[in-house]
Amino acid sequence: MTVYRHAPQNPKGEGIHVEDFNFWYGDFHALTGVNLDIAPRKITAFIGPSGCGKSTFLRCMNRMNDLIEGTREEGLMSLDGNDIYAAGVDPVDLRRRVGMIFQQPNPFPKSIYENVAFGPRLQGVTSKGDLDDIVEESLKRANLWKEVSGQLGKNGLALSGGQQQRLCIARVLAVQPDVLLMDEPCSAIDPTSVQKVEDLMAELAPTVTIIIVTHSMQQAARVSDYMAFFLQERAGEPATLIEYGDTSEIFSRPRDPRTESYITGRFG
Amino acid sequence: MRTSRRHRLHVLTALALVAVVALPLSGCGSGSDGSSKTITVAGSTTVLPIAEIAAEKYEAKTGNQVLVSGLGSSAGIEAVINGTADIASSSRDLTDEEASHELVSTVIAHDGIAVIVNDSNPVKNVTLDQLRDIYAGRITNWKELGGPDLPIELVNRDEASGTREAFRSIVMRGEDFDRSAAVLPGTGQVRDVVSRSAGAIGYISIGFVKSDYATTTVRTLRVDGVEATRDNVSSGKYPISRDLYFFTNGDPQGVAYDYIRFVLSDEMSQTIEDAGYIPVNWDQSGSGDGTSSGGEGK
Amino acid sequence: MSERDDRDQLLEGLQEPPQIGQIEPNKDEALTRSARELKLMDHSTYVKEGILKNLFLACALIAVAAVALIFVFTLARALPVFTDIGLAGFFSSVWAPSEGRYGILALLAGSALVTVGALVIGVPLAVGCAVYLTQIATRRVTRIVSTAVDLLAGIPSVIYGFFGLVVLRPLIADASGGLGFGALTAWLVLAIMIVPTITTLSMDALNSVDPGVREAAFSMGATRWQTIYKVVLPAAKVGIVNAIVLGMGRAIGETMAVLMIVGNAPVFPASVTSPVATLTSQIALDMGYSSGLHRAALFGMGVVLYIISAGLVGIVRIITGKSERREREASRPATPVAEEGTRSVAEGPSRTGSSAAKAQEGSAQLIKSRLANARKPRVSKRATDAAMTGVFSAAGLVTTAILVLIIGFVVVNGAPQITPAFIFTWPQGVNAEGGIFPTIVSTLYVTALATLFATPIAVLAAVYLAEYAHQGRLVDFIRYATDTLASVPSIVMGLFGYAVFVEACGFGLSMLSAALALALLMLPLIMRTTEDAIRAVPRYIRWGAYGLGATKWQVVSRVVLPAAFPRIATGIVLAIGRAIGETAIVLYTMGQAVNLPLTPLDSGRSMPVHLYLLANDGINMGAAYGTALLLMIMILAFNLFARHISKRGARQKGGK
Repeated sequence: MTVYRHAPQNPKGEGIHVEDFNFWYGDFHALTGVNLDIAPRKITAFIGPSGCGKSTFLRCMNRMNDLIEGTREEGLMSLDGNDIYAAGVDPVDLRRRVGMIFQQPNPFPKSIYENVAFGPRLQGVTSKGDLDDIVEESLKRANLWKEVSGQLGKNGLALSGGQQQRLCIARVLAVQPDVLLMDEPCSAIDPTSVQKVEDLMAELAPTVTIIIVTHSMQQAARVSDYMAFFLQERAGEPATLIEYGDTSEIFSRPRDPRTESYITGRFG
Repeated sequence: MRTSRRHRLHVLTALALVAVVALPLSGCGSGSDGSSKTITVAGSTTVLPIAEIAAEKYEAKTGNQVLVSGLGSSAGIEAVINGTADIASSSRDLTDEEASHELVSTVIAHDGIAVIVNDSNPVKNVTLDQLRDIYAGRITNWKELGGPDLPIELVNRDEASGTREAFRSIVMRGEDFDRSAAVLPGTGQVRDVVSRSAGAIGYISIGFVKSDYATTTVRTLRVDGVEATRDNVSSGKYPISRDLYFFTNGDPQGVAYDYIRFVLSDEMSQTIEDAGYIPVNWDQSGSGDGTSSGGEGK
Repeated sequence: MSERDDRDQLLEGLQEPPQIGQIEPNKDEALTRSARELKLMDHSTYVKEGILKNLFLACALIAVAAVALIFVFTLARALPVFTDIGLAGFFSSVWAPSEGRYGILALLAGSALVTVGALVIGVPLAVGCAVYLTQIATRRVTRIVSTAVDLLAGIPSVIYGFFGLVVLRPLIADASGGLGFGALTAWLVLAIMIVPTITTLSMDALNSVDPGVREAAFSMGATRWQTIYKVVLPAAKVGIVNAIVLGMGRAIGETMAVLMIVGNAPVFPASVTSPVATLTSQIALDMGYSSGLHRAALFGMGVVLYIISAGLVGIVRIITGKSERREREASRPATPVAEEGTRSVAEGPSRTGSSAAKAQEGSAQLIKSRLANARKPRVSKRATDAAMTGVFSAAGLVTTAILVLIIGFVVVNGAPQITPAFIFTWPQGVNAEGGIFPTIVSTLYVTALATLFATPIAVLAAVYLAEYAHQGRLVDFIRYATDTLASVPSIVMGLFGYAVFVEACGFGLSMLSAALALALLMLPLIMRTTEDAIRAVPRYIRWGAYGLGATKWQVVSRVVLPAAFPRIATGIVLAIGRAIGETAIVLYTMGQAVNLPLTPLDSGRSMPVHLYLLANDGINMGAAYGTALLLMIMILAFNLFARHISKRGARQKGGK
């Protein structure tokens, strides 16, 4: 099987490097032979039809799949040159460095302030002043500060769906992640909020590596610098990476016919 | 407005239905019948096992039915007075109030109450007064009786127990039990607890001091110098003893008379011994030391 | 929801079915037209549906009536004690019936001591076990341990008491040098008994925490322990508190187990190893022989127990109601947080890329420097996590071990006793040698009778609550009554049964009296599970049937009830299991004499009562072990059967 692999310029060995990666849910072989390098501080979009393994692959990047019984992986996945699946690596610390935003906004049933302060508190920040600063700056980075500054004591669940999603982003930013994984972050919120989240991604990109899984081709085209197309060709067989490259290039000149069919809407 | 009235209507209809359902329940008649071949024995839980087994054997022999229930001596006597039972079984004699009715008493067995302690306890003898002081909570340590420095752990019986009632009237003589004593609802339990706790003291029917069922042993204390044996109970030497009674309203008649005669017959002697008591026809000479074991297993 | 309301409104509107002739042709053109073109509801259909609805409501009101009657009758029988010795005398400290003193303070203190201790031991164990099963254990382990928890819940209290008396009591006697009766023994036994209640309800609460919230915490670098402690437990707080309150109710109301191990000394407890008495144990101990004022005092204690348990149910409802209100408020904010307008409106076409990036960079730097101030915890996160995970796993392990221990104890001692003769012959002699046949028959007889009484009423009442009732104050009230009925201590149910069925109705000590009292125990259990089962039937299934023109009753009887059947059956079977093992209720309603019942008015001795009496006598313990084993086998069989039904039901549903 030919895997088109694109290695963006990466002089310092930063970013995420994946080599011959395989993944199993119990007996089910979900992903096979994935090779790619994710550019640091850029936005990379994973696209593909439902069940193509793109979300699974995303969840491998901060080892969220460890929480599911009976999962197993093979191959190399490294962050800034360090194998994240190496023996002794603490998945808990990894997840702090590789934050995640989910499809359904999931603020804790606590106040806005406590939501954002949650991560820093976990890390042992106890000073009220420090926490105040972190909460404020994180909310500012998530473009939410103006809307909530007077009501930080309010329950996070009282916000609108779009605001909840930005609160979740602020919550992750508060622990200063290097990578932000976004699993269809806009599929459960209204169009106005979608635009805000997309703007926010653009603003964050120079400081954080962002990987987004999306079903919307338009969104991928709007926000991403690079794009990876995943596909499970036949039911029961593992999915894999079909094509990976510059977003504009894939849209204009897809190298694989399967990518082309997907982009032009023939399946998925 | 309209809806709420509507709602109330539903509730009312439903309540009416509840009433209809409940009607047969409230109108239920009394359950007793007047069959001539059935008699009722009510009363003492102490006498219950004897009365029950006698009832079984008697039924098997004659076909007459004897219903036995154990509600306590007082309830049984009350039942005979007001006519709901034919025979009252009792582990005590009549009170003055009860004696004012025309009740006829029959002694069906003797019972001696042994005072038991742990095997390891060196104390051998108590006087009735000391025993009263122990159970009233005035003597609280074995050293006051010449034993080791060990707190006395009191084991008492429940108030429904005829044994407790007898112990109270013979030993306590109007004084109250120490209410912090453990109250156990069964003879075997008292025996078992005392056999396992060094400082414990309890009282049980003599027949249960040695038991085929138990794996542990207890020792009896002499009371006023008299050993707790069946002979001494039968002869009246042992101070803590009592009689078990049947009471009838007037002289027993018909099936009731027949049943009481059966209870007193030789056929029931072994059962009465098994239950831990001493039959009225106890043969002093024929029974060795008189502490033959109760409860022979089959 | 709206569907049901529409149907109801239709029925409401047709309360007095209009007759064709009554409609004036020129009054309202639209109305006339519709009256001509649509067939009006058949009068007989209307009447039938109306009668059915009221019949169901009547069934639902029986629960309310029972709750009220229990209180009224118990209070009425207690009145002499209040009028003769007064409240001051009743709430004084000396309990000495032989001296005419009926102060219950010492008994209340005993109940409080026993309950608090049981909670202190049982709550951490139960909540820990629930956390382990929902958050840590693998699915296989969860399945095994939660089966163990369910089975523990099914074991009758008389067996726990027996276990406490024969196993724990001697151990504590040896350790303390005393007799081994007292609060400490009761704590251990009651703790085991309330663990299943609290664990099951806490698991429900923990499972209903949004899994997304849990994932979010993990994805932020929280350890498992941090996720549990900081996110999951707070989110499930209300449910867990409710579980604890209900567990507390169970502990306060427990009778037989306590009776067998507290030592029954009605005094203020001197130490945790000295004999004490509780309200429940004293009632059970004295009920058989008491009369007059003494008996009135026992009923008075029943009233106190009733008020305590109804109060606890009230507390649960208040807590739950408050949190539900809070949640509603949170999800529907009265003053919504204003969203910033889209950028194109509020701030012009675009923030210049460089200034935004600069702001981001600045914020990032600031956050970094503040994070750097974090203090290293004294114990590493990983160590804490491992330790706490270990603690929770231990809770699960301990629970399972206890089950194995109790079952093992009964099986090892009971198995040699069980022979065909033991099952099929009568007890003989003063020490109940021989078999226990009549007690088996009595147990099955009374349980079958009780099931016969309870099931139709409970199912129809549940149909009313789930399908017909307007969700309003009446339904709330019925539900509160049902919850209260479920929490009435069984000894109080026994007192009520004695006062009403045995004495007032004149059924005497009989199968009928005991079955009616047991039916009151089963009623709320079956009602609850049936209502849940009916509610779990998906709405679209109903819509399908309504769409085909079925009446409400047709929908309920042909679609909803069959679909809900497996879960209803599970509920009934579990309730039967409870009834088989129930002791306190039948002790004073069915009699204690060994008898083979033929008619419902015959008395008899049930297996739990037989076990209780044998254990109390303490003489023929072999027969006690054998009875305990048979009893346990019967109940465990019912429980496993219930699990089987519900699993099969789930499989069928999954297959469709």
